[in-house]
Amino acid sequence: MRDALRMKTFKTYLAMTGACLVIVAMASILSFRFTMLWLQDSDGVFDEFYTTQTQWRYSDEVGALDASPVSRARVAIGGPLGLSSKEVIYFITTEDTDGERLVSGCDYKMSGSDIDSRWWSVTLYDSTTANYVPNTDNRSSWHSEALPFNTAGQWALTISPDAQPSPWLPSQMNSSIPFDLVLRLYNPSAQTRADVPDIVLPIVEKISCR
Amino acid sequence: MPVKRFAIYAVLAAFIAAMTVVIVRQSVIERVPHWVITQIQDRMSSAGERWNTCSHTRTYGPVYGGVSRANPDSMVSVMAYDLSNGPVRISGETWPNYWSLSLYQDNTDNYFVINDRELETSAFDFILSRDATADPSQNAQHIVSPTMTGVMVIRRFVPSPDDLPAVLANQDKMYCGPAETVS
Repeated sequence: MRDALRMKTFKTYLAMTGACLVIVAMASILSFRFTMLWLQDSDGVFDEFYTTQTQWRYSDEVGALDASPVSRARVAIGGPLGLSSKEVIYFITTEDTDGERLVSGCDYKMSGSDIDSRWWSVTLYDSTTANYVPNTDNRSSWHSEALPFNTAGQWALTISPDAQPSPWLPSQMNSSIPFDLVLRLYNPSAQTRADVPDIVLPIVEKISCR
Repeated sequence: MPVKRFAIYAVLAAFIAAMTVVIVRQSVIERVPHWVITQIQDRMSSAGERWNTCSHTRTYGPVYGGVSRANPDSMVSVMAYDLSNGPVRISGETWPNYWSLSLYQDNTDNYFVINDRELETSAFDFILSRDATADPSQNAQHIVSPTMTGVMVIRRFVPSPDDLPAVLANQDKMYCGPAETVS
């Protein structure tokens, strides 16, 4: 009688331990998969960036020793080995001035004025791969020393998958692929640094869509 | 099974599942930067050597398939370092348009960066080690790495493809390797 009771208790513990292991294993697998998907979300990578008055977002946590764990993980996936804000300030946008997602099926006019820093650049990335867009012009960016400025100190370029008069920033031939633009300010002046994020940033206006 | 006992088991199971989800989620968030930098270090090999040797981008413009959201206007020299066998030396000449040397610990944090304007001369000479007292050189600038392994990146702003020959020559003047083998 006592042996039967012991056996029953043993079986109960065994079943509970097995059930716990199954629960832990299932929860671990699901948590791992969903956390990785969440971190790798092509737009979510910028969720930790601060918003500005415009469509641009910016971050001073890229490469920072005191970055939050989520910010560090997202930057590691979306753009690792960035320079800390001591050296560079990063701005990023995934939207045009109307707040609509930047996609390769549309042409855009990007314009602005010089930004007080040692040099700056605008780079276009395929949001789905976080990498450059292959193109016939072998160009993924324009920098402050290459952009033509008019007499008023303004510049403008065209973003399009089709070849355009210079300055042209090529986007993807596949019209449904989203892209993002990264603006990097290298060694910004003390005034620029003090004014961030309320500095005059480039605007991205939609021209037309296919 | 009585309803009350079933409810207790269900609550217990839900609690275990919730705790597991939270712990795994935090662990993944903490570990991802380490996984990323390990992948980067694996790719930073030069002539089969993974650690403590520099490799350079040798072409102008975007290099497809590299690190996510890299800057195509900079030509970089990179090194995955491992200080377990002693200090590592990085020396060479800066680049006039813009030059910076940045160091990343094994969780991708940029713990050190210096640019050409912050250096007193156009030549640079750094000793990287885990121990502040391990500097074998009186002339080199000493940097203590917070972690045993990490990544070094030198960026040179290259405004025009016409600058390519000068950049390649600048890269060739660099030394990256064990500190004790260079006088």
